[in-house]
Amino acid sequence: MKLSHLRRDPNAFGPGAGRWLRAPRWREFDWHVLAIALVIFAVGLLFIQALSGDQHLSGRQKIDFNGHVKKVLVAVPCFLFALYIRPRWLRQNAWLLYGLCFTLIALVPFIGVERNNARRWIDLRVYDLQPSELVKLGVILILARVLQSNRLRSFADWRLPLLLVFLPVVFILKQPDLGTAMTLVPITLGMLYLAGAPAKTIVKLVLGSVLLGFSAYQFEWIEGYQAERIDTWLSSYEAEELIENKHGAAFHAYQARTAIGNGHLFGTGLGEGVSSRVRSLPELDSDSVLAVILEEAGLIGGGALLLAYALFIILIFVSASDMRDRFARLVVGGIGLYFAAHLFIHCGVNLGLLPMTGLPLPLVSTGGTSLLMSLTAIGLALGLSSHYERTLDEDSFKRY
Amino acid sequence: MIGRRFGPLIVLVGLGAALVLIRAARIQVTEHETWAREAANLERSSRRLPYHRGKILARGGEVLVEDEERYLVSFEWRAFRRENPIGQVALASSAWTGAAVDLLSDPDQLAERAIELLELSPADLAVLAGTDRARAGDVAFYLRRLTGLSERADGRLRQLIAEREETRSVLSLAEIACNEVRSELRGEDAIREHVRARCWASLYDLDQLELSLGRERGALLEELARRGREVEDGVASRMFRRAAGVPAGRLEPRALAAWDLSWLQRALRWSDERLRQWHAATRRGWQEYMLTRIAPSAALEARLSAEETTIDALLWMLAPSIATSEGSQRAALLPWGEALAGATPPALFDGAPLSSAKGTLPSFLALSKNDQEGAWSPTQDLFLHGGEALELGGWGPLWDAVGLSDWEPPASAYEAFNRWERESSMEDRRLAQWLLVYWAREWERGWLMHQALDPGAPLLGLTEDRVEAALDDQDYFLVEQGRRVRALERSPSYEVVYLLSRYPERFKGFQVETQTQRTSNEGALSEDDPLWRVIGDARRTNLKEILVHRGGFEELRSLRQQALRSENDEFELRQLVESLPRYDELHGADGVERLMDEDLTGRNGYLEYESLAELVRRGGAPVLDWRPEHGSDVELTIDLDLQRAASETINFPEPTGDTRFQDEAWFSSPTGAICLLNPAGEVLAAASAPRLGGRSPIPYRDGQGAFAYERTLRRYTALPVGSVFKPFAALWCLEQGHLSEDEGLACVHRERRGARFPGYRSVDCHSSRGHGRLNLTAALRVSCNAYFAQLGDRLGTGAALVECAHTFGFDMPTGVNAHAEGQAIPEDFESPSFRRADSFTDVELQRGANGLMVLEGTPLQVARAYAGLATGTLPELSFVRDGVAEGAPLPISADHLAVVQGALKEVARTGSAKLLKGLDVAVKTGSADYAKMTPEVAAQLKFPAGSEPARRKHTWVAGWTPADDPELIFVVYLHDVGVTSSHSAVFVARQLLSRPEVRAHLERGGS
Repeated sequence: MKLSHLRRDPNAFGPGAGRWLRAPRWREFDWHVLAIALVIFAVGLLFIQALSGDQHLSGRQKIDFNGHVKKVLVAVPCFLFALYIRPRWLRQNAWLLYGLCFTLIALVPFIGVERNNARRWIDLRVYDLQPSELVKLGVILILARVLQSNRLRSFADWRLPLLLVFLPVVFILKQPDLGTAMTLVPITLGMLYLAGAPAKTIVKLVLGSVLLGFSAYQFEWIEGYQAERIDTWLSSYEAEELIENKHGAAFHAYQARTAIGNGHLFGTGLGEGVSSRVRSLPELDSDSVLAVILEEAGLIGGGALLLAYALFIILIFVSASDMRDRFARLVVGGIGLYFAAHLFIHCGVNLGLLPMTGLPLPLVSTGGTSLLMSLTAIGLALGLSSHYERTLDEDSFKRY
Repeated sequence: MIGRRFGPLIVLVGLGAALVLIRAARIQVTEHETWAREAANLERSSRRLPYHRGKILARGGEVLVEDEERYLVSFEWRAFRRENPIGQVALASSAWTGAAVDLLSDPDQLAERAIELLELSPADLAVLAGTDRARAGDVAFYLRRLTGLSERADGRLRQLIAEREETRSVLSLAEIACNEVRSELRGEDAIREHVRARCWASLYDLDQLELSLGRERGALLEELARRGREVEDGVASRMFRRAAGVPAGRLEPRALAAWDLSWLQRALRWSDERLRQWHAATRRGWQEYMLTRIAPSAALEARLSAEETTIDALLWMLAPSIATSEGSQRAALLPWGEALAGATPPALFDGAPLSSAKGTLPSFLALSKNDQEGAWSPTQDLFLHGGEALELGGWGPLWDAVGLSDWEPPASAYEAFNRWERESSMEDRRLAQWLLVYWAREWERGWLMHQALDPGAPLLGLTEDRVEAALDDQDYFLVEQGRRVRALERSPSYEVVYLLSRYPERFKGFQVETQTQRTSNEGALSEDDPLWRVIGDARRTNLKEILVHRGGFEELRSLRQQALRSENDEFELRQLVESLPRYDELHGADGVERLMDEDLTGRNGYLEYESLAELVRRGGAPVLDWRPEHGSDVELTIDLDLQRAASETINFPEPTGDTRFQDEAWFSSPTGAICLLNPAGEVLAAASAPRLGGRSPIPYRDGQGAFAYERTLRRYTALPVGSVFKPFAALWCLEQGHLSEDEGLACVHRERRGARFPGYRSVDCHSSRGHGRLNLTAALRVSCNAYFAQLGDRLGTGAALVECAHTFGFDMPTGVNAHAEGQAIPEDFESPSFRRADSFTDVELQRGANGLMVLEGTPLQVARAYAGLATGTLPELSFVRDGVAEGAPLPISADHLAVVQGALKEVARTGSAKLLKGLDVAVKTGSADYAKMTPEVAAQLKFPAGSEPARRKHTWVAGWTPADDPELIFVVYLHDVGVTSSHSAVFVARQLLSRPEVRAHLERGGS
């Protein structure tokens, strides 16, 4: 049997770049996933563009659409790069990439800039880099790397994965950035489950996380303003209570709920929502963008977007489930979890199901680093699912 | 098939999506109306459009009073401290040193101090941040503002200052920022000069503004600094209230001293003395607020309450103010509530049940309702369980200041009930103030008592979490208090308005606003003319009106907030907008303003619109636009030329030049009045002397010359009309048959006080020889007292004299307040003695017929009577055109009228007013005894020897012109004169009738 065709990869880029770049197999490419992602992205662009108009009249919250487009242009090459990156290279350099992300997050307290009482950004002059966004992908990669050969069969098998997540979470919490820390929890638990952790153990961990969160609140391990957000959330779930507290700590939640409720079934129309006109809803292009969409597109339009997003996530999971390479499958699964965590936390916060925290909606919200990581993640997911590399690990032969 | 454990995750995603959609559906569908309303409220703005109150015009249309847009300069502390270099340097210094810094201790050093501060580096700020992050943040903020860089450069500088390890100065970093953004400012020196220039410019601008405002040097800055301190006081009060749960003003200094307020001092950088000053000011302010606002409001509400008509209503209304401390339950419960061992905190009322621990509770927490067993009332409880003498403590000065030092509190419940029954608003207010102080003192004593018993009680102390909460809110309070705008100068000069409008960037914190004010045209009518008292004043909506309309205000607020309204709602909204008074709306307080309030009042409008962005984008009309309906103008009957003539005549009478009888003192400092009417009863002029801010009164007289009163309708002393009443006594007697035209009555000498004087019984005549036998015409011509004293006898009874007086309008309203409820234009029309007319003696009747003693009247009453005498119809007087009611014909025959009219013509030709000969008048003089002649006053007079006047008098001249075809009725009244009318009032009357304005009026035929 000739094996030369196995040695020579017709899709590789040549002896140098070919080590880490390879064209996807376009026949295997998940065009439908890309299409949905593009639709979601286009919708996001549409709403951001609408928000950037007439801002001079209200004088509030100037939305820079041109700046957002520039960031898109920076992120697209990263998407393409991620599309072409070889799974093998990724696997071989997962530690390096994780180390790089961890280094950046560890440097933030020293070289980061402070804004609004939080130090989260590294000023690169032309770009404000938010390492916590990078860390999410870094954690996905390193967990996939570590769990590639770890079935989590014993307690000792859990230590390294949890430690690898715990360390950056500590730095993230010190910034403070509770929202980002919150997204890492479902990503981690989901990947552990995908790696073979028993469901019961995952449930216990979830309950443990809830208990930990409850204790943190009850014994004031969290910052004062974070506890206040939880208090506000608990006391403003219902409409009447929220309206009563609208001038106080529940201001943001009130504005978001008002915008959403105003949308009704068919929405107010693009740019016609009170959130666009009055501009009193904070962060309406990032943390509250769903409220704007639900207001202006209504339940029908906004619901369609949410369903499209859910479908996008599901299709990523479906695509991952078909992958025989464990590492790649875990990476793609992790990316699916990344989008799912962001979607549901963002929706939960805006709809009052979760306490207020700042978290953008990937592919829709503005935010340079978030956009960069979202497109990179999609590129990785689509690329990995369409690359084919032979592996002979156990999972190649397993269906779980 | 989906394997490898992705199935459950997909299911979870599906469930998550479903949950999100269900929640979204609930908010967007089920709760849509609620949120749509909130959204509309976010977007919509509305305001009531005030109407302009109608103008008050003089006859002929000249404006006397109107609404005018006036400018107002206001000041906002926050904008000043953030944007003005003076504020920036002071606040930066204060934040850096941790101590309060004067706004501008040394103007010459401002620029250098600014440069010195800009030499600080982020590393220095980081060291400060190690101990106090807030102060470091403040310093960084003010230093950035001080540089005055462009927005882009400022943004970059902000990033550079955020780098804690940076050791270069802020000035150097500013240079870097400017270079990076390619600002016009390049180099540290340029920035330094730029900062210096800003500082000097701010000093110059402030000086210019101070000069334009007419303030003394340095006064404006002092005022601004005072505003800054007021803002700090406000912040401290809010923070204290947050931490303590009670307003600082409620606590006595002793109670406050028991608490550690170092956290407050640190937060605000206050010394101990400053803290003490704050508390003293806050305490005083709170006490004043309670006594001058809460107590009167409670008294008024208690009166308006329909449920309870005894003083118990006042207790129910007032107690929550002490018990709940404006809503704070903590203040109500403490220190009697949870601090009492085993006692459950009493429920707040109303409806507080009787408590078994009632004896230990203060009465404002344990008010009882009438219960079946004891039938107590709260008032009875108060005196039974408390009622000890009020010990004022720290309330003493304010107690005196509000006028309670001369007032005795009730000594028993019975007395309290009775006082409330009097329904006197002043007494109600005092009772409320007394009760409030009583309970406040009870509260304070209780606090001190429990503080002494249990100083560590957490409920009486400041807990850490509450202090933290207060410190967390400090920034919010700073913004909230700092943004409050205060009036700095009302009606500023044009120069000030120009400066602030043209150069707003140079005068940050100062704003020009417009405000509608009711203004008087002092060019038309002199500002010191007492006629303004007749025109009256306007006032703002008062507390009673607000309380009465409280339900309407609530309804209006609710409808305004409703984004989706039905037609009925819109109709009701319009009704309320038009009918409810605005808080700043003007209403007539007195005078014509009040009399014609309905005409002068317009209807408010209403404007409701969406955001400015929406208006511009859609180019559309507002949602609701109801234009206001302005009030109608009111034209007075006052002829300004005649008014001026009358006012100048009575205020600046020329000396008589009489060589024999003179009261020069009066002529140098006159007191009196002149009024002019037309026969229809329209008041053409009503002038009084002295004017506002007039001359010093004549010594040794009655002192009325010190008071600039309105004297044509008002009477401040006894005011007998004297002989000007005689024609009416004569007419009445003729008509009643007590007298015939040709009947002669004697004026001869008789025995009196051991001597012989001409006169009749108790009435002496002014002629030393007596007039002999006179008929009516002759008697009127010479004004014989004896003749009319006999008429007094013929009247027979007091009732007859009263009926005679009433027929001609004496002791009756003149009609100026027709159609008004109560007296809009103040008028003293009663003759007080007439109340006992049934018991008039003969002496009183004899003197009364002479217009003396029991018969009093105001100049306008006299004028009205003479108008009736001239025309046969007694008119209703009016100050308002188109407001003259029809007069009533006198029940006097034309023949009798003609007789008396003829006699009055003779008075001018050959009688007591012959000085008016040639002026075509019918007139009567009068000299009414007023006060005893003293040697001091006699020394002021000139009179022939042997003719010493026995008494001081009011002298009168009343009549009409032309004699045969009356067009003008005139009355001249001189107050407290030493000589008779012939030597005083007649001269003044001649001067009046000779005025060109009067001649011109007559030449126009009286129109």
